[in-house]
Amino acid sequence: MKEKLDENFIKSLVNIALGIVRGKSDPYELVNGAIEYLISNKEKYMDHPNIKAIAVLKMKGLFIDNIRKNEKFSPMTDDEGKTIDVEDKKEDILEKIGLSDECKKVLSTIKKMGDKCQEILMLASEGMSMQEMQEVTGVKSVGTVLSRLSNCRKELKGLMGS
Amino acid sequence: MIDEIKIMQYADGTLPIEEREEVQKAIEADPKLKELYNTFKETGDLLFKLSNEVKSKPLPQNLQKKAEILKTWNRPVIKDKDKSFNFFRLFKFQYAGVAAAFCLFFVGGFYTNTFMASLDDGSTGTVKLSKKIEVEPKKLKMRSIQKDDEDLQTRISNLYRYFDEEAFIAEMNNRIDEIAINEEFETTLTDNLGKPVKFILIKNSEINDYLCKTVEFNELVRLSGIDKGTKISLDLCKQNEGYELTSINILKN
Repeated sequence: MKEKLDENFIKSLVNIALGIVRGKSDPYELVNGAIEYLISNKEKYMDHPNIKAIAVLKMKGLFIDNIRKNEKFSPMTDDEGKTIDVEDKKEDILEKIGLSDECKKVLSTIKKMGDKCQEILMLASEGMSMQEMQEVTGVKSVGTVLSRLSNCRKELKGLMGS
Repeated sequence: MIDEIKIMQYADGTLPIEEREEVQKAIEADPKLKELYNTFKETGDLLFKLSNEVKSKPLPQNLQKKAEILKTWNRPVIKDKDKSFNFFRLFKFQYAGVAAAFCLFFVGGFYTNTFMASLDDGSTGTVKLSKKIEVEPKKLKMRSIQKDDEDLQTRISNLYRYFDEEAFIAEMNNRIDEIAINEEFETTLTDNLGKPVKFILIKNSEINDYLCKTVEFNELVRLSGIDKGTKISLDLCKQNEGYELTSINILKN
């Protein structure tokens, strides 16, 4: 039951990372960090039966670390004392990836939803099993995963339709 | 009891076979359940498209290099597992890149839907496969396929679950002689999203003195959790007054 490790594996992590990042954060950076972690711990993970879940959990950890790091620094100011919004200078991730209008709409709608929905929808879109999603999300049971997924899909439909 | 979780699983193709009929009937009988089913189908489709589109984009160079490193880890190929979305739905995946070809079902004489599989539990004889097989894919052993190619076996089993062969043959007998080579034609068969299935007539040929025609699905078909898209063609040969399905050729990616 082992995942094949190739470009598609990394691309599926990119898709899942889209459900983790916020604002204009770069999902590729998260994926890169997670893959570097796996590579540097090859002996530990090369035969792991659920390496994708390991990578996703690492991406979540890296994202939280980034937020904490950013909170430690005061915002930059210009000569007149006005705050410089560094984030605004980053390229919008939807533009960077180059998605079609339809997929942009889907992704931007998902990004408007709550954190839990963003996460579960992107995990599900990658065909993760309920058990894998339970492991990654940390919820108590597969039933909770199913229930959350069901509710989030109904919400997505409602938002897409409105 | 039919709850919305079961409706979602049914829409995704992950509901156990033994529960599907009950859920299908409930959906047909209740407009609210039908609406819910459509919601899950649509959102499943949207997420599937999004995932595929993200994957169609090239990785940055630094990640490509890391993919090369990971490839050297030599892990065994994934086997099928329970997926959260309907990976058995047809015609959802544009795909390029096909390597080895497998011609699975041609058996010299004419088609019978009892020739292609035997049970893996040691029982002899063959298993009748129709579009609604009741045997778990993993318990089937297909002719011409190496035993370790379980995904191919899964794909074939799933093709038989979803392809309404009788309807297809009946329709083809009415019109196939009027179809030109390379002509694309619609059938009354529909995929899981209700979209008419399209085929292309590839060639006319003579096999064992029978007049035969090869038609191909005009889109790649995703038939298992790890299937990136399977090209399928069908050989129909004329016996007595009508055409029969004599082989199903699938290309393994």
